[in-house]
Amino acid sequence: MSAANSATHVENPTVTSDHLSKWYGQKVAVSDVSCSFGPGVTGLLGPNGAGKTTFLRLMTGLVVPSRGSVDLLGVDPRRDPKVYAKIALVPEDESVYPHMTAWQFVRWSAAMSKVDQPDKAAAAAIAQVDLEDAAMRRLETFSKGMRQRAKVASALVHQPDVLFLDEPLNGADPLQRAKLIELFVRLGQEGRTLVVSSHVLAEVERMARRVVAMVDGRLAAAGSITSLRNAMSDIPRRILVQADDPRRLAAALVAKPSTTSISIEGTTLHIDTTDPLELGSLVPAVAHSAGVRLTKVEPEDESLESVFRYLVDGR
Amino acid sequence: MTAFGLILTSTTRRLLRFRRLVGLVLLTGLPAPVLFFVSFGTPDSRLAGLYDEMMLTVFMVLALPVTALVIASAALGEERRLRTMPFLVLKPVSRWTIAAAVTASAIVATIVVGGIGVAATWLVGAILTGNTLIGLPAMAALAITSAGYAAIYVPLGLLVSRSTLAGLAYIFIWEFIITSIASGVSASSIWRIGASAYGDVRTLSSDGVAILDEMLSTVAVGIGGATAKVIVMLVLSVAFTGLLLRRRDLADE
Repeated sequence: MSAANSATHVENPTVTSDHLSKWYGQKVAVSDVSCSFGPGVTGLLGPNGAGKTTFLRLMTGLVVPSRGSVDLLGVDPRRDPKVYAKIALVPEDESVYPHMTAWQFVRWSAAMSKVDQPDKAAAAAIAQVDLEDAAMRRLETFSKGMRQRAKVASALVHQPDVLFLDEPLNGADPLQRAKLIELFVRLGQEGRTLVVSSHVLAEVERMARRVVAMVDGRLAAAGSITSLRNAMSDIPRRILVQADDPRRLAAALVAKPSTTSISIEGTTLHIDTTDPLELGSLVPAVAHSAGVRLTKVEPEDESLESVFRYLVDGR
Repeated sequence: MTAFGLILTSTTRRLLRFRRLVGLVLLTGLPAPVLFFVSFGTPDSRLAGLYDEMMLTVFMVLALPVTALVIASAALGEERRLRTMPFLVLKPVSRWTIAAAVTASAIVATIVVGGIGVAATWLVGAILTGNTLIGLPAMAALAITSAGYAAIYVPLGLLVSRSTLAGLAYIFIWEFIITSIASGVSASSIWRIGASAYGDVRTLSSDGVAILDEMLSTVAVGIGGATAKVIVMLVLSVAFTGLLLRRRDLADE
């Protein structure tokens, strides 16, 4: 599938990368990425080493592009730092200022961002991430998840229009993950642009309406999860079938044109197909005629995991 | 508070963290116990000279350059090493303001740490000699030298990942060897600039004059000239650091 389709760009973008590349010596970290982001949550997906972090650093002006350009709210952030009043980055690294308390850190960020009432803004941001009880503790005493939340509070304190979050849920416990996802969804619904990088696919599915996938520094795909799957017409989809006699059912199904391959694990069949709808209607009829009793039929991979796997392995 | 003030206070606090402070205070305070113990058996007429010798050699040539190196190279280098740089630079603040504020922090932190050492030695020197103003030249030299070293080490910390090693190489190769051999560049040696201010603040003991003459080589004594040189160095350093912040990657691969 070619990534160079209309899905790589959005209408009324707030953030655009144009043929963006970054290399370190012989190593290419980001290669010729052109895409745009608009209001709402966009998931930036990719395996470790895909170039997501470098891409976010390029977008925020933290590193200099080797080639290409960035447009952030109409300006190049490296040329006009005033734009940082409207954007924020939550970096992936655990590091925070160890000598500061969470309150000092968030309040400092507010004052640096020229917020009118930094105390009030800091209190509100800390409350948004449920850190009130630990606000007066030094950041060096925080767990990884708490540090992440402190960084999120620091990023939110000036109510940015554009928010880049690099693996923001790392280290957070399940409850906090759920709360942060809820927060990000709400911020997206308010019309802010959120670009959230993650390799935890299920979490991205819960918050992002659009996905941009990177593999080996390149833009591999972009669009909604559904549109991505539709675009990849040649991707085999997998259906899970449980039956009392899986071998007999497999023998009956393997000759069908819509079946690409079948693997058997105990009583479970994993059937790869190019036409899941046809296969879905075929399986009960074939099972009936073969005298096999079905106990479960369900799509196995209607998740980003499958799209992702295809993008990584299928290239 | 302005962005300059916010960065200044925050960076100074970071640079003065307890763990770093203890070792450096012990280093800058080294002349005090040395002076105290060496004073036993030293004639009273030579005590002022002994004090000058301690400050001009142990403090100015050894303790202060190393202290300034550790502190000033950490001003931006630590931000990069600890990966906290995004919190500092992704703010609506000009790179020049950041560079100036961070450099000022390095100067303040070095003066605080060095000042503790100077104060300790001042106390011992005052008790031994009865001269309560004996520490003033060292304080003036400390301020000027701290600024001079900050001008070198702050951008070095941003440029080089092993900035402490690079800084030590600078001290020994440039400050000690090259500027001693080549009289044409000795006026650019920062500890000589500091020493020239030291010599101008008070009338030195005869021993102190001899040591200073040997140290300064062709560099003229004078706090005005020393201050002017350091101001020029600071302006150039802030401009260069600001340029680095604009042009270079601020996060490692």
